Amino acid sequence: MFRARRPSAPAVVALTKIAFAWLAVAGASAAAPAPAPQKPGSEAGADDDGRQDASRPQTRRGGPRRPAAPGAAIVLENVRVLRPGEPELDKATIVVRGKRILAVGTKVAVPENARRIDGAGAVVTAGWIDARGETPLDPASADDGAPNAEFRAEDALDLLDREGRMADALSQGIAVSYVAAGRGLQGGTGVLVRLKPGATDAESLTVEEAKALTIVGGFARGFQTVARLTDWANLRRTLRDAQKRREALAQYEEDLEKFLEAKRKGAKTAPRGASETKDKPAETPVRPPVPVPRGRRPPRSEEEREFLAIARILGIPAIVEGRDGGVFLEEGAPEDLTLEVLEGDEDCGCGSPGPHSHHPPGGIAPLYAWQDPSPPRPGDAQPGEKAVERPKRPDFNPGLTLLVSALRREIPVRFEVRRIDEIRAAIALAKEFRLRAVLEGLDEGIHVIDEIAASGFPVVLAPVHDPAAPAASLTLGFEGTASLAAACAKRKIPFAIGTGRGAHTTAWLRAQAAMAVAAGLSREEALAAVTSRAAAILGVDHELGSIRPGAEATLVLFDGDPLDPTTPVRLTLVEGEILYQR
Amino acid sequence: MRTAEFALAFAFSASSAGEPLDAAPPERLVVKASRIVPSPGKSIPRGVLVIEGGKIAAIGTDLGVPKGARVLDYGDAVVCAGFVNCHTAAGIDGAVTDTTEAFTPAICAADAVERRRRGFDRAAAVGVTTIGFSPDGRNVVGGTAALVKTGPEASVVRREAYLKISLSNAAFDSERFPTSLAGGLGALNRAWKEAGSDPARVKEPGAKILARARAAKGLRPWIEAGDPAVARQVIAMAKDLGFSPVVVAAGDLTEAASELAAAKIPVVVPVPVLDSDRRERRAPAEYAKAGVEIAFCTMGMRNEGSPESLRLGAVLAAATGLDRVAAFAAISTNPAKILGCEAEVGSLDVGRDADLVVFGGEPMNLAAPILAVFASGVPVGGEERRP
Repeated sequence: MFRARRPSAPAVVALTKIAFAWLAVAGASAAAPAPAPQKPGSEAGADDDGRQDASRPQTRRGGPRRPAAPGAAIVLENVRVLRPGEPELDKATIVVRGKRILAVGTKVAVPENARRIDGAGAVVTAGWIDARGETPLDPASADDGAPNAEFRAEDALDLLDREGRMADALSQGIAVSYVAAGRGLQGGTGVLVRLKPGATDAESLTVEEAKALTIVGGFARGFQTVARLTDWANLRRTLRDAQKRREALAQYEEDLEKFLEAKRKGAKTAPRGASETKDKPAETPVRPPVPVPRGRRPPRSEEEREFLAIARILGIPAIVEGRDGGVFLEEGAPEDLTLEVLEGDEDCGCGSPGPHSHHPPGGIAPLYAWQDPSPPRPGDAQPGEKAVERPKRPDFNPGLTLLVSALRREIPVRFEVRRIDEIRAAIALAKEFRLRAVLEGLDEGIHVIDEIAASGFPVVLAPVHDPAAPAASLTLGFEGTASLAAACAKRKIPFAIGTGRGAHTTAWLRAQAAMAVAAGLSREEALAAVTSRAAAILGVDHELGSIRPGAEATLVLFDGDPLDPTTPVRLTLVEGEILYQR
Repeated sequence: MRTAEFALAFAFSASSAGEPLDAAPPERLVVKASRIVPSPGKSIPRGVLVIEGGKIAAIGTDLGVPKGARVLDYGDAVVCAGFVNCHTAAGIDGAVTDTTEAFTPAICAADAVERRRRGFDRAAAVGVTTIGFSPDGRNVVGGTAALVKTGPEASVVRREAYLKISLSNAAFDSERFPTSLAGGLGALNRAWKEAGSDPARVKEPGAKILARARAAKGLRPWIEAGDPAVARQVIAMAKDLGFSPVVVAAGDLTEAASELAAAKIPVVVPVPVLDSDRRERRAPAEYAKAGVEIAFCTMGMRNEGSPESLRLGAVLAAATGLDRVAAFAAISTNPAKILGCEAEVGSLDVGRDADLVVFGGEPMNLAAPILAVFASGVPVGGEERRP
């Protein structure tokens, strides 16, 4: 019934993916005047296993996608290939088939029926990665600054590219962007997004491995010394809570294993839930049984229909109401999970007092909950019989879930830190709790550069363009990034460059890289900071940031020097698709 | 080798840094580089520049070195003229504009220029050697702007370079007359009328300034406009009153671009910044396409205090459709021409000020570091700046 470790992480992923697939289909059917005939029996155009129907045309900004004949290769010929850390290739050929690079070299056979693109005079690099930007975040979806660990950047993307920011980035050769939306101390999860305007399928858009928990310090959190100190103290306390929870979960898993073992050996077990009722402290009221029975009733609203559709794809017997968009699953959710309805003023049990994100005031919020107790099963002990008790699962706490994953080193933690004191605090916390830390921002990093180097943590140089930040930081931030990049290279600190918080567009990434070169960074290192090194820091170097057979075909063709922002981009390929062509 | 040579040269010059400039013997300085860009789009290979008394004495290919001259050979570097930021209020502590009333024609920005302000120093260090130091757009008639040479020896070259007028929203304040565009336009027209067009017949200093601006000679009105309709009002006003204004774009005026081009009115455009959207970034290219003469400025920008935003912004405009040479011209020759000082700054030629920027590459390539800056022949910035 349970998997030994992080049992439902795949379920969360599945939910996300399916939600996206579903959104994609909904978006497509809303935008396309004449949708292609649907597969009979499939609801809303998605297969039962949640995969999107590949034959379905997708709509996107600026017309339909260039349909690539199945299996037809794209061949870039006569190009100069720049790969940091590897020898430069001249008059080379790159063969792309589907989403991947098939071959790179100077003596590469061109497949038949391939779409050949002559790249005479052009320079090819891997698709540029903005290691911390704002595109394609939808500004309207940015959160409100509350400490909000559940906030997911992937829920706040402007997938349809209404403002044309993705198209803008692609026209400058930027193909991938890491975004984090939260402004709270716990800024939720950030996500790496392939810039594919109008594409809404989660699988091809976001890169799972790059997901990271964001801890926001710096200007976004204000300037008051006391407030900042309180923030870091709170964070440390929360991390300790998460530590305890991690231990409790590990104990639970161990106990459960023992329990199941005993059960397998034929011991009588107590009915599920019995121990919980018994052990519960008196002050914690037991939530009354959910009024909605298991089973199904016809959906009453459009929202319900939407959730029902997702739940059906997931195979969860779900009854969900509400108008808020979230469905929350915790690690370790049982497979017979049932979704439950909570009224607006009811305590959702997450431990946070007052109204909060998944529990808006006055509204009905859809919420997770296990439906316990289960009916007695064969093998359960009868009343009066001596029984092995099923261990009690630690209470759900969405605020700590991510931190527990971070403590298990399953996801990295990005500390957005700008001041000297914050940089030091982040390094100390990351060491104390053995986190996979990435230091980000670092406006004042130059003054503690040796401490950063000694910490061994990689850094993402990203200025802030926040209205609350001191004036002049708009370019000073860039300048700072530039000289900091040179300083990092000197001390062998692995670093990537991002356009930063509040940057309207990622298109300036090229200006930033160029200014870093002017500040003394080598050209190769500058290119690495926006391609291979950025991919490595984001944990996606097996896919992105390099040009080699088997890697993802996310490439840029420049008309000349890539590190001169005035050099036009000729072509941008994302996952084998030509998404920009001049 | 170049660094050592240069350091030596500065060790020499540093000893005389404390003395007044005019007391030093007229020094001959020779700057060599693989290329000199005298003005955008032009090129002198194996360039040699001879500087005497802060002015350019000779410029050309493989010129002979005069006797006793100090030679600075920058090897494969590129030399161009110092940049011109024709419209800015940055450089001093505090503001130029006094917003207690909307009509302050007698305010003279030159009075606010204080020597040895770090702002001017910083501007010079990144290659901005000339600025139009001006009241901002918060007053309908803000006063006169000054032509200032930057650097540690910041000096006012011309006290009255132009008259700053604003019909953008920044000038209308609900707490003060005028509160609206209509009110502002009416009041401005009345002020023009009252001042008349003969400065000799006006005694009141403010009215005299307005009369001089109206008299088409001497003082050019620079009028800030936030939208195309206001730009059209300015075109009509210019026709009625017979002067030739400069329009400062406080918003997107591209819709009126062809009319501005037809009226031969130059447009001063704030450089694109990092939070500009694509439309704002494309605006310079749109003006240029319509045939408008454009010059970049940093007035009113959040990062105005950061002088490198001028070149950065010009490059960003060039990355979004503006021709590279045009972008270069918009921070050198064009602003010099619009300010009426093209015979002194904005390009390199015999007799002009020896304002030079030495780049380790193309001037419009951001990856090219600034190796040195000279303001009137005095080294003021770059990697090897004066100690």
